[in-house]
Amino acid sequence: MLNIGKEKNGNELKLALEGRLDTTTAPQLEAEVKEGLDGIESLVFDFENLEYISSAGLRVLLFAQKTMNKQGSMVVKNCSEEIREIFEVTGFSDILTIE
Amino acid sequence: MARLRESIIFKSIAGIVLILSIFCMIVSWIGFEGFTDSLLSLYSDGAFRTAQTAARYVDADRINEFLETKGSTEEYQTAWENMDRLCNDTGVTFIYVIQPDLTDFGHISFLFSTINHETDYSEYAFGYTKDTTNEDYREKYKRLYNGLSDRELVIRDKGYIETQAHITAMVPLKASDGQTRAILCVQRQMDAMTQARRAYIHKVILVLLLLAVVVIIGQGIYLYRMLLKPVKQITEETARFARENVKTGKKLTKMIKNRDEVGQLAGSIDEMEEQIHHYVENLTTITAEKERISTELSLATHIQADMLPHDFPPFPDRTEFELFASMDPAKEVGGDFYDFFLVDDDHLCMVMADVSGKGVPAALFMMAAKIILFNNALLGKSPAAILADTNAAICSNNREEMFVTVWLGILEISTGKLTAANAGHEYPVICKPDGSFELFKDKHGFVIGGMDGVRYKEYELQLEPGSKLFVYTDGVPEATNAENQLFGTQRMIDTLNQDRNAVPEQVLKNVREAVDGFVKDAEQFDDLTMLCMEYRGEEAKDEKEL
Repeated sequence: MLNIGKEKNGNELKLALEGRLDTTTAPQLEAEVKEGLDGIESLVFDFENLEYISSAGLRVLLFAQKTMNKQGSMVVKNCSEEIREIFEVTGFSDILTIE
Repeated sequence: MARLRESIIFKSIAGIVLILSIFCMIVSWIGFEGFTDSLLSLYSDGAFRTAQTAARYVDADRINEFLETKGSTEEYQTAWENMDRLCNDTGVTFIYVIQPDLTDFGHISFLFSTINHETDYSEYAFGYTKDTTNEDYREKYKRLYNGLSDRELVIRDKGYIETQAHITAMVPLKASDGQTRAILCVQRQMDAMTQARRAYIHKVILVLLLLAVVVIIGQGIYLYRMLLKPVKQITEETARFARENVKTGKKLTKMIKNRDEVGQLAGSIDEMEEQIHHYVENLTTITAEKERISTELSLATHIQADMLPHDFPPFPDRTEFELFASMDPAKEVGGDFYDFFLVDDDHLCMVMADVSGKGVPAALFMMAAKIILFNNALLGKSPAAILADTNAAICSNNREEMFVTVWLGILEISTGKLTAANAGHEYPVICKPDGSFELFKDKHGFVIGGMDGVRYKEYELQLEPGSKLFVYTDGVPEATNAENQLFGTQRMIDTLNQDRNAVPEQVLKNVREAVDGFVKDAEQFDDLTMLCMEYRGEEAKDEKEL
């Protein structure tokens, strides 16, 4: 179960995720990211209500990060302790901007 | 017979015949009544006219005189002769004059009695007395005598046999003082009328019968052709289709040309057969396709399983260490893998990896990753170099942004020195001799395939004989039960510590059982892959040689 809250403001996009980002729900976010990043210069992920992220979800974040590297910046906000740990373990904390 | 009674034709014809019969009964009843009324009025008119004429022959004032002389006077004789002539000329049956007894009108005495000579009856003699025939007559005599009416009619055409159907018209013979002295009656047979009436009824019944026959034949043929035959054809066709499930060469619409509801039904059934046939064909194709994919998947599962070392113990002649590993994919094929092999006589390489995602894409990526890691390791590189070179190779052709987390360790068998590097994989678990299993929080690099040019740090770890190493994929800590709770690393460590002295095979069994007990009926969501190695050192080798 994943709910994606979208907030677009000019060239800024904020995606607030709620629920679990795993193999079943990752394609949902992937579609959102692939369609929605045109002309975006600032991408913010709000993970305040995200319970879990699997490797399939990390893959989508990696894709978003790579896209944003070319056209602006990407920030991940409000990570829970568990998700922060997953980022640490997988080394994603090295490539993501986590606030 | 029961079937015939249930058939539409029988029901509809029976219905029509019933309606026809009711209709005919009403028509004949109306006809009968009308016939009777008009004939009766015609008959009675004639009878009354005759009665009035006859009344003129009799002088009521002289009735007492007739009684005294017992009808022997000339005058009586003349009157009688006139009456007799009238009787025979007008064709009535009787003309007679009577005197009822005035106490209760229970008897009548005949004064005059003439009959038509064409009948078999005979006249009554003067003064002949008999009982009044019935209550009807008595009532009417009374009315005539009491001056309540000056003509009465008795109709006898129903239900009795003693005489033929007839009417009797009665008029009073009044003296000059206005008192009724006698009653003159004219009786007329109604044979003609009843005969005509009977003929009429016969005709109606005959017409009804003819009509019924025509209706039965006509309606029968019509219904058979328009309804029963097509319905039978439709029934046969649907039964055939249900049995054989193949299209027919002869469509129903070709056999049934009706444009009515039955024709529409035939069209619908043709259409339905077409659709079902189409659907079944589609389903067959899809099922065959699914079968094929399933066969391929099971083959792929075997290929994947065969790619991983799966004979245990893997190195029966190496007593310095014991090793056991297992992989249970969540789907037919998985993205997790373990690997271990001897780089040379003194170096054992162990790999635990997890590809992002699951299923066929993950499995394909896993095969590539495994081979590249293996080839790099065989070149004798350090763990960090192996990971870096593998990353470079994978990143060069990775448009789908797949990545794999890898823990890779190389054990120097003679000394127990473990050199390892971690590309975004779960922390390994180490158990020192006489110690407990603990997470070893090693240095992490980024996942392989995620970004080009990543460097990895490696670290060294001295394993004493009796030490155990347990590596796993996230399928273990992230196994989820029906309440959406994670198994977690803490439960995993606890499980490991419950049986610290277990051999590697038993260690894996214990963890698997703990995970299954926790998840219970919830579906296995992630691949579950583990590897456990116990280092025994050179002493074990020496012991064996001794």
